[in-house]
Amino acid sequence: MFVNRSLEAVSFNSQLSTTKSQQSANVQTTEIVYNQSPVQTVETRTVETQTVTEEKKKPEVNYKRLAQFLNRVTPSILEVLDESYGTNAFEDYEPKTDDDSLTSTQFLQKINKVESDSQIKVSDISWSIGGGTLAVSYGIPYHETWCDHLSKIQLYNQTKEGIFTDNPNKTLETNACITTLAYHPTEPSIIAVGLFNGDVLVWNLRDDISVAPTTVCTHGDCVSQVYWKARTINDVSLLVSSSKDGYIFMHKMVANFTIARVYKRLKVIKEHNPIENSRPRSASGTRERVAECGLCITTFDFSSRDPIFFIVGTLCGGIYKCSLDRVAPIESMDVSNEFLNDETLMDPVIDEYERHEGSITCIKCSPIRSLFVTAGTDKEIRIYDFEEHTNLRSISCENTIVGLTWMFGDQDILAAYGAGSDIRLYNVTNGKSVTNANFETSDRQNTSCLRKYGGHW
Amino acid sequence: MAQEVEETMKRIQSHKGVVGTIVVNAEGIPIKSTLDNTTTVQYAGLISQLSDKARSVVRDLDPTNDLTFLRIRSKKHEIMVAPDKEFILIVIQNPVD
Repeated sequence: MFVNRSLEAVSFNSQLSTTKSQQSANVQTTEIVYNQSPVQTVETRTVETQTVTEEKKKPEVNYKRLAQFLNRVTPSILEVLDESYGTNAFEDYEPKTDDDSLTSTQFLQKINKVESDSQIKVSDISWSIGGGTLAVSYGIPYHETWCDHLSKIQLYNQTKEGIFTDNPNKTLETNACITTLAYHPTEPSIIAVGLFNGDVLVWNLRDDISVAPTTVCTHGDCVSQVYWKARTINDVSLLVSSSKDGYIFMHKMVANFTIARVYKRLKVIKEHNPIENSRPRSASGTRERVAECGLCITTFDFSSRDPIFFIVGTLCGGIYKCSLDRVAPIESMDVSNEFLNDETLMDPVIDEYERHEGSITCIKCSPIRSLFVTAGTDKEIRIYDFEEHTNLRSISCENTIVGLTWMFGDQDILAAYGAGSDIRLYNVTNGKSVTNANFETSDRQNTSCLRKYGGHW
Repeated sequence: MAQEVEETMKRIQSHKGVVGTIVVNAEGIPIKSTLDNTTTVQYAGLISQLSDKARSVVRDLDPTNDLTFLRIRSKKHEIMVAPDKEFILIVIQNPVD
């Protein structure tokens, strides 16, 4: 294994390793530009309809039974055919079924007990709930100053034949002119009266001896309307009265209509119509009021659909939608006046409708539709929807309309009366005049009040 | 049997003043008619409803009672209705020709 041998030395030169050259190079990445382009996808739908041709089923007929039926029935049919062919039972029978037949109204009776030379006029009339009694109130429509007239309400009883007695059965006296009058809708002996001096009185006529009225409240100005609010279940009678000083008082009548409790006090404040701030002198009187007055309320009516809403009309043509539920206490600058800072005094206005050019004389809510009708001194009758600000229809009249009332039978028909001698009827659904009834009178100059009862006016 | 039915229908139709004769089944579908299609369908539907109503009126008034015959007098015609459980016979007559 081991060999003694010398090997030749081998050598190699060491070599310097060369350094590698390095070069740095920059790479510039080019900016990527994004392009946005909108793509509109069009939605398409395909609907396929398959019409199935269906064989019309022929009804299966059991001819045997049909023949039996016919055999049974035919003799009597033939008999009846003969009988009716020869009969003349219906020959002269012409039933009146045409809708537009002319209705004639008859002037029933004239009750006139007022001395013709006096200034006193009938200011309002009201039928009692049963229709047996007609209450007629008297008053002088225009006052220069205070009203110190002695006025009266006359009650006429209707006999069984529908005729009134010539002399009033009862006369109630008041110490001021009566402006408005309303029988209670369910209690036949209760009558509410509004006076020119602002008093609201309630009479209970059940007792023949006592004729002293209950004074419900005193307004700051002439009472423009009294209204018995329809009774709801578990609710006592509410007497609503409005006055030209802008207040609406609601009183609960308790203890058999002898005690009035304040239920709500509402005021239509002047801010709803700043123009109306200064009341015209013709509004009434020249008295300065202790309490700051609101807009001059001339009329109001409650919605029949939703009895918390009511519509108020003012002397300057404003029509306001009001709600009993609205709670907006009126703040007054006059801290010293206790009357004004009453917590219970609310502003009921929630909305305003398109104004009339003249004063509102009457507002009536439709008993069956969500409509109300207004009449104004601008000789227009307007029909409004509760939900719309502008009127649906406007009817121009020849004369100023002072009052509206719904017809007894068809509650879409409205009777309008006023300065003219006639009473016109309008249909509120189309605004057209109903021409088949005529109430024209020749000797009368104007109609101041009209109430319906069972077809008698 | 179908023949007999046709003959009876003809007999009624030829009677004085008869304008049309219709036989309606219990569902109010006309089976036999001497009138045109539209008139027949209209009469059949309306008269069968009316006779059902009239029958229920009679029965409501007295449960032991039943409707046997119905006559409708109008300005132009007289309609005779003979109702039954399965069929209704309707005869339209012009009383005075």
